[in-house]
Amino acid sequence: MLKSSLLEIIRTFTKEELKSFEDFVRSPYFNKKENVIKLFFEIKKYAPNFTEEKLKKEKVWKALFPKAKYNYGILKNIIHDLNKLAEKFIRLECSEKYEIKTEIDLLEPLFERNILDLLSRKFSSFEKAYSENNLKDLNCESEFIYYNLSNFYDLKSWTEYSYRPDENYKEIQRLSSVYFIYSFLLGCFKRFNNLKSKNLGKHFPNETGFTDSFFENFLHEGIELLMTFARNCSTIKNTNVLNCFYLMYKSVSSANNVENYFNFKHSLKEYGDEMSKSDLLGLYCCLNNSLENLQSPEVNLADEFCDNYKAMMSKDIFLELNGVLREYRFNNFLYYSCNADSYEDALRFITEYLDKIPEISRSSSYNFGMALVHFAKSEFNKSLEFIAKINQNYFDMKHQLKNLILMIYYELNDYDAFLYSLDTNKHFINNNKAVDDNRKESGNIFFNLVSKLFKIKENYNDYECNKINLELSSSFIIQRKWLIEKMEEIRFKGK
Amino acid sequence: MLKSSLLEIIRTFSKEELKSFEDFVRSPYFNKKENVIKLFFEIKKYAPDLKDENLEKEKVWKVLFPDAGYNYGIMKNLIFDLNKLVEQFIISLKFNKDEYKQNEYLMNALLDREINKIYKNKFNSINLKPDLKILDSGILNVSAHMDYLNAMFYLKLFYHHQFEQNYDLEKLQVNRDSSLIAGFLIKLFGAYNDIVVIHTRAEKFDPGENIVSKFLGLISPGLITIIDSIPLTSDVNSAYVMIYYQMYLALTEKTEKQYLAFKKSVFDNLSILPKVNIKAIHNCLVSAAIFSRFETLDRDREILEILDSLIEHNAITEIGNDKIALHVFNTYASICYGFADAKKLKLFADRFIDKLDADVKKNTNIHINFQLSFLNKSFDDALNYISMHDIPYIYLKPVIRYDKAMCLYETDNYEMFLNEHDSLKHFLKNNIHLPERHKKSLNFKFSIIKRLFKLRQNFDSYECIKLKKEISGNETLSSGWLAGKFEEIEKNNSHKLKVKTKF
Repeated sequence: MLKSSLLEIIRTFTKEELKSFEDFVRSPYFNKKENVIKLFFEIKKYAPNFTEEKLKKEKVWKALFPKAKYNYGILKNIIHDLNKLAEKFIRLECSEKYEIKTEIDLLEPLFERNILDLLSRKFSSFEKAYSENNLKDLNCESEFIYYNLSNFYDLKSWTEYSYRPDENYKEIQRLSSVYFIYSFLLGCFKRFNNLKSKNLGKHFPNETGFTDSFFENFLHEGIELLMTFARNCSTIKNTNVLNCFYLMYKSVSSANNVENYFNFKHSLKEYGDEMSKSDLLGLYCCLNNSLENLQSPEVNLADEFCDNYKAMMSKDIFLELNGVLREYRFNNFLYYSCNADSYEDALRFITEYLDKIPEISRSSSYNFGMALVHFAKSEFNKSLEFIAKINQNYFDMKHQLKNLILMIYYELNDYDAFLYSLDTNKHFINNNKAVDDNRKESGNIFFNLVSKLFKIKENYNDYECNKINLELSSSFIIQRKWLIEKMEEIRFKGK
Repeated sequence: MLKSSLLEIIRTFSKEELKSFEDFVRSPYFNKKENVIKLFFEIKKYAPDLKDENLEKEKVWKVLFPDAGYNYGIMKNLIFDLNKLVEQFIISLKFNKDEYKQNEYLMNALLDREINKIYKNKFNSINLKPDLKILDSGILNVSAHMDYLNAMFYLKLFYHHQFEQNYDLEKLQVNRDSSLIAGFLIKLFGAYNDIVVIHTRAEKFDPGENIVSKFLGLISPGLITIIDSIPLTSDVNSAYVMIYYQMYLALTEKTEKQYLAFKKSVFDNLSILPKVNIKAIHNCLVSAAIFSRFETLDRDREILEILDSLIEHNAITEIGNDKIALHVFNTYASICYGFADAKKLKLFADRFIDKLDADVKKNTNIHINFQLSFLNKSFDDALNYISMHDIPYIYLKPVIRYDKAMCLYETDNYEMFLNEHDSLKHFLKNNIHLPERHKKSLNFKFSIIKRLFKLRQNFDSYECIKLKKEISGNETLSSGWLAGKFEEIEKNNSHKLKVKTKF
């Protein structure tokens, strides 16, 4: 039984959940089998690890039925029943996340059972609880909330239409329509970001894809008109959330438009307080996607990324809503802050946030962070030592590490190792299907510049120096700050 | 307590539901308060009616706490707690029927807890194709299935993204988009139908003021391209969207040809639709029949055929509670009545009268008896039934007035008719909720009956030809009772007419 799904699920229970599951198993509404309850209590003895030898099937049988001979079939059925209950339990616990939907799930049966007075009172209390001003506190995405509000007003308008002869139902139905369309638009904007984001966009067919057909035929043509209509529509007063998503769409869809990027960023600063944390977190991720695709020398990418991440920290959305910090976000902040030359920020950050990332990736991320910090402190060999300890387990990190190693060999003036690393990097970036065009382009620009720098470091040439300087000033890569610094060093030494 | 929402809800419980609620109340997962359990058992004694005087708060208190003085606060809290349980219970009943939501929440919970191996095994064993058994037992529509697909594909994308760093997910993304957009289009077309229906009561209908119409207007130029791209990802989604698209075209074009195309797409695809959609799409078909400009088709015949199809597919009653909506019952009955088909009317009424809500059943039965008496030419009986009528619904009042006027004509009671005509003026003036066009129509019919009375008493060729023109020029009157009565007069006075014309 030690490797059973049942124990796998029960091992994830907190102390409170285990207590609650005990009530669940003892509830006649879910279970009336005494043996299943007995099995639970036997298992419970070995909480929280549930890895004791005594949890082997035969031993559990002995504890449950001391006088009976082991019967595989019967025990299998009891385990199966308890497993079903465990699944039901986590499903039910999960449904609590969808509070607004559960409220509507109560209204529909009241309508079906024709309990109209109570339904009418419930409509009022629902509207009070889910008024426009309260929505941001629901901790759900607006797309989901709007979808459910649309269902709510749909039910209400049909009730009014069927049972009340006044004209109120028309206004209610309009609300249902508006929320329905808003919900879909938010979904479309988000989907659009997914399509264009570095991880999904590169694989998506641009010619005949189903979604492209929809976006081509609607989003690019009618969206501006529809947004104007929505803003002028008096049914829902606050369209700021919808607007922020729209600005996100505009920013993501026009990769090189700095103005659109900053319009989007400012909208988040201005209206961020009006939306739920889920929405805000999602939109900041979109902001970073948008920034990643921004190929403009006007913007210092590393500084800008750091600024966005710091804004997320100040708005309390840097961690996921369950308090966990995603590994990639932890590593990205370190990578960008070291490229922005603020390793002290990075050190403070490691101390403050390391225990927030999942334990499984903690040591890798720590070594990665320390490698970056030592690099920024010009302790290149120490940086290499930390790199050697890293267990590279995801794509972005591999990419960032390869660039870091290249920079370290440059700093260590190890031309052979530099050339070898350059060759590996070029191969990785140009032959890897998972690398999108933007990243290929910025990667190749970096390789080209850093190679040129190495060459003029060996043989200084004023003319070449000016040429590289020109190239650097028009580049938009993350490592620009470091490259400029190296350029200055060469120039200083050369002169 | 007799008027409490607690009892109001428990009264709707079936025997099985009451038994199951007993388990629910006794379940420590939901309730650990002994007094709440006691209160439930006290209430249960008086099931199913729960109207006994012993259910007064003070009397229940006495049973629960025989030695303690009545405490309003404690009793109120107990009722409140049991009421909360009753609400949780009916939510739970709904959830238990919805296999898709159960799957979705389970998969969500497994991913939340990072139990990835079980997540993967479960996902692979789940059938993502629409299953009519699951849809019908959960009272779900095809959009619910598409929402489900959307959620499941999202979870799978999340899983690959988060735990397997696999970004090569083109097919998954395309499938997710297919279900999102197909589901959205179906709801969008359905919402358009709702707007059309709901605004028919309004005097002035401007669909453009609704964001759904605006949206449809904006995507219209590319709509067919979008719809044509759906089969690339899913044949089933495509078939569903096509039915609703035909409906949208029927409601916007309003031609007989498009109505027939829509009707064909519905009748050809009934086998792939869950019951909720069968019901909904038939309702849309009725809307299309009402709003289309027919050249050769008879509107009432079409509506009757649609309602008969609903009966054939066991979908004329509400799916959640097997009740028949009053307006559906009345529509069917009045069309049979209009066609003077007493046999069909009786068959229908006998089968479905008990499916009406108790509060409307009595009056509707009276109305059916009136119609049957009228069709069987027992006009005195018919008038008697009308006098027994207690009309709770505004929209029935004009109907009954017209029924009475017809009876008075048939019984040749001119004086009484004049009284009715007089009172109609007050009725129409004072009734602000009745749409103006209904008022005009009723007024017009009364004026025609009055002229028929006069013509029957003193035939006048000129007035006869004039009246005939007016009746034949009106689509709703040209084939109904008024036209029949006119023909009677015309026939009786054929010798006095110089020119004979046909309707």
